[in-house]
Amino acid sequence: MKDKITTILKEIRPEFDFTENVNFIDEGMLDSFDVVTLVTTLDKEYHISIDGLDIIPDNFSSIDSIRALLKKNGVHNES
Amino acid sequence: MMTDLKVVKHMDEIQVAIQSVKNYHKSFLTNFFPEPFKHGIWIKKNELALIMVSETYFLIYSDDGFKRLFYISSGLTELTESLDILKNKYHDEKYVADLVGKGDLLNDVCSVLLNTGFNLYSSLTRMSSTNYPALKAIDPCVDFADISEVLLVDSLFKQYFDKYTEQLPLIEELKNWIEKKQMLVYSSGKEIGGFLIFDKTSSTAYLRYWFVHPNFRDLKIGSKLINQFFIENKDVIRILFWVIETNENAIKRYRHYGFHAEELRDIVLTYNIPLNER
Repeated sequence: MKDKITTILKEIRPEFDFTENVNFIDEGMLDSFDVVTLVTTLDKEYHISIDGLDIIPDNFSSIDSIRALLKKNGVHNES
Repeated sequence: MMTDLKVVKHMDEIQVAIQSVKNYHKSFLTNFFPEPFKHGIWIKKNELALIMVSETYFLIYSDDGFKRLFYISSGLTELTESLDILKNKYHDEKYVADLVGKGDLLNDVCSVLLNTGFNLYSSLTRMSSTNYPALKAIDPCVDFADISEVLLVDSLFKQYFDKYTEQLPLIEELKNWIEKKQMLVYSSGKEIGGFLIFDKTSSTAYLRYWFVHPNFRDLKIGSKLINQFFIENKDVIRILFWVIETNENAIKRYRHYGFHAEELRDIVLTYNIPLNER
């Protein structure tokens, strides 16, 4: 799952290294437009619908937080 | 179904709106991308309202003599239906809608608004760079703005910028940029010959506004400001900004500095705004 998330992030913002242990939002690697794009992409890729109330910066600030959000939406396998 | 126009009191209400829309088809379209500082001010001033029309929520911001229109909709067909209803109810209002996106989806949403009676006003493209030119010496006339200059900068915005296309900043935003040392000015006595405003995080610098006063043209003030901007941001990975697509001279200049156009575009559409106001 981690690799797939990294690939998705890289497609949105190719110039950044999302394997680094930093806060993607605070560092400016993802802006509000990117977050909406990411929500739409994750919804499609994992056949889920991320709750509107979960569309907050904290949930997209690292690979781990995105993975936790996916798990909350029932994505548990390592696809 | 249509609810009454309701003043937004908290950002949570927008997230609830997104969820309500997603409940229809599990997806959503929007041109509202939250900027906590700016939108927080809109909410604090009671200037952002929300209305539900069929499967679309519209966010309406009361700007300077017109309304900025944002949508959160479950799809293109639903957006078309909702816009028709909204237009019939508030047909006298002047609206400006910014559509930000890329590719076919952006073109499709644009067609929806054009078919509803909106007119194309302008379009912008986002440019970015990860390579910066060699830095020149610092010019002593370029410095960070002082809070005492905020009203002067605000008046320059009102006099020289296009309020429909360029999303003029609020006084609170100008003060915030000054406090954060993200506004550079070229001062000549008591006059401001130009200014440059930017946002900065550790990896990205976002050039927001770059202005040279007409009385100070041909003095290379623009170059001096951008040089200082590069110096201030020499540690970032990426610099980006929006430019009006028809401004070929500016684009040529940006390319000279190593910037390239991204796929991301901002199409500005207006409704009920006469040609002589443009």
